[in-house]
Amino acid sequence: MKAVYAGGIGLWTAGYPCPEAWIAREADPAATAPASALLPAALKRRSSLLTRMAIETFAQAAASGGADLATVPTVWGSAYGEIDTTIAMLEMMREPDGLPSPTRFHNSVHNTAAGTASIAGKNRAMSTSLAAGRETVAMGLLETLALLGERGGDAVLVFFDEPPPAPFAPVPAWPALAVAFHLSAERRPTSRIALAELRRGSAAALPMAGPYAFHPCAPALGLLEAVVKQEQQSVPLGHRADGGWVVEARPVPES
Amino acid sequence: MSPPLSHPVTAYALTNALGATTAEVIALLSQGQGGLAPCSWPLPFETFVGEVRGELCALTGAEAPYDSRLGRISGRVLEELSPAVARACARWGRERVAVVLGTSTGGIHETELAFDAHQREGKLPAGFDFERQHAFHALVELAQRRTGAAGPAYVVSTACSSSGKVLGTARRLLATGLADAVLVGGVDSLCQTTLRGFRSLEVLSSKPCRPFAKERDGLNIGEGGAMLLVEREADARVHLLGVGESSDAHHMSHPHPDGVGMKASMLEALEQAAVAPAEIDYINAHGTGTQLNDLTEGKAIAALFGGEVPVVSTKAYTGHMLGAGGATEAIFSIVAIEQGWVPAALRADPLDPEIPIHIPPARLEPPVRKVLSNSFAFGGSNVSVLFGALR
Repeated sequence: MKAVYAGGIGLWTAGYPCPEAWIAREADPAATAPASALLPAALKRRSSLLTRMAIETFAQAAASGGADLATVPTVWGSAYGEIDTTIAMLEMMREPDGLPSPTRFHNSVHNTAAGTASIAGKNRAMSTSLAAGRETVAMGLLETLALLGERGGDAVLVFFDEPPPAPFAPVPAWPALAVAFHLSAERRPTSRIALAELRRGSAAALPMAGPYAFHPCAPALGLLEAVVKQEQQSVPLGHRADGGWVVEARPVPES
Repeated sequence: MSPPLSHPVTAYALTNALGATTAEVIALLSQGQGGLAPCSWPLPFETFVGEVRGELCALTGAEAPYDSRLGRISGRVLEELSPAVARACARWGRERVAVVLGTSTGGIHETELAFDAHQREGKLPAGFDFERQHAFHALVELAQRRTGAAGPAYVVSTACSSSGKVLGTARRLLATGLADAVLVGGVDSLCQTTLRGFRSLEVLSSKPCRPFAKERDGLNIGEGGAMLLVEREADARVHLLGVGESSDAHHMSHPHPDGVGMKASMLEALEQAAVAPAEIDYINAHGTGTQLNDLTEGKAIAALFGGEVPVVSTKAYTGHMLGAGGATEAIFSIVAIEQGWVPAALRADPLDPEIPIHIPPARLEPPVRKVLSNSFAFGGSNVSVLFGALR
């Protein structure tokens, strides 16, 4: 497998509005909603918190990676998608003649964030949305590697999940989180690490305190640290008892 | 420049409102007999649906935790296709066989029942398993368990284009050597969410849908499953030649009025395959039966292909199977090439004079060598898949 290059990054979770805050472990109690400046007011008002988080990190990664918002292909990985909106509709449909609101219905699909980002950025490039439970990060990266291998160029890969609401809330609980990466087939001035050899295997996970360890996209936090630290390492990408997935990261010299 | 990629489709299977087995489904399609019927589900309105034929078998033993309407439909398709996947596993190695399946709503039908029970009784039903019945990944876990495939496995969920886009993923995984065979497909079941949701959008017809007819008044929801095995190389009559993908960047649930995204996906499929528009012998349209889709798609097809090529929406037979539609219509496209016929366009007469394309009222038997199949979705997600007889 040919290596790809990662540079631009994005992150949003309550208390940590950007990758820098997360890396420094400097919580900001005021960071309770993402800025999502890419979204026009009307679109923002109709979007779920999950969609806005995903689009915030998409825009951060595109900006720091130098991607063109109007042309970059996108890959969106989320284990459960718009689960809050989906379950809220079930409540509306319990009445015999109950119907979900049209906006909620079309915003309940897994590709809501992908479609909203494309509308906001006037981006007609292809995008895809995928889910693989606790292997969502590994499979999202795999799809992006295949996409860059097929078409060259660059892509933004976004991982995002919110916990299913009651009565389906996960135990142990985990918080909503979105993490994004700008990847390219060729090395760019913004590239910080090369990623190669996505394979089945296991590697020591980064110690991750607290409930984030239970997030289905938790391995994206390890990948984010690998981009920031620019060290040679095997990055674990899965949780499966029979091995999971690993990708090899190596630094690219400053250009 | 390297020659265009071409990947053989070595097996397929499907179930839907036309029949329980692949043979039954194809027989009715060939005879021009549709499978839509009045909906018997509890709903505050009337509509027609395409409900899968025959009783669905419960999943048992190690598969019991995956038992759901979605799982049962999947199980029926996997039952037919398992010998072919086993052969691919033996040939390429289990870890070289990927599973990529599309669905729009996963196991939401079970979640609706569980949520309702929880509201009434204060607890979830004993057998309900959110991870194995509701969650998207349950679909690929069940397929891996049943077939032994152990390569990369994920769900593509882009609403109504999901199981067209899995063919794009298959093409990429094979082209880059990340897999040697890919089991692709799509499964969706009837549920309250989509029936009431499309009603809320005011695009559900109370009668059998009439794609491309002047008096069309909306779509019917269908359910079913369809899966195909695509391999690096093998002896097969029909090959996957191209998969165009684009976004509309316009609106979450309306197509761009000029069909820009639709045209882009069709053109990209042609470009990948190095095939000229005039070489396309049949187009399986997205053709939902709504005023807006059919007008926009029809004009986009006319702009690229002219008015000669036969265009049919098989949703008039099966209903709109959402995340299962793309793979179902991919199989219908392959069958058109293998058997040399284009199905009749049901209930399209009188045609819409605003849509200048060839909608055949009766079955045609022209030489069919290359077929394009469209799927368009919420979020402006477009995919066009191109199949062809081996050169």
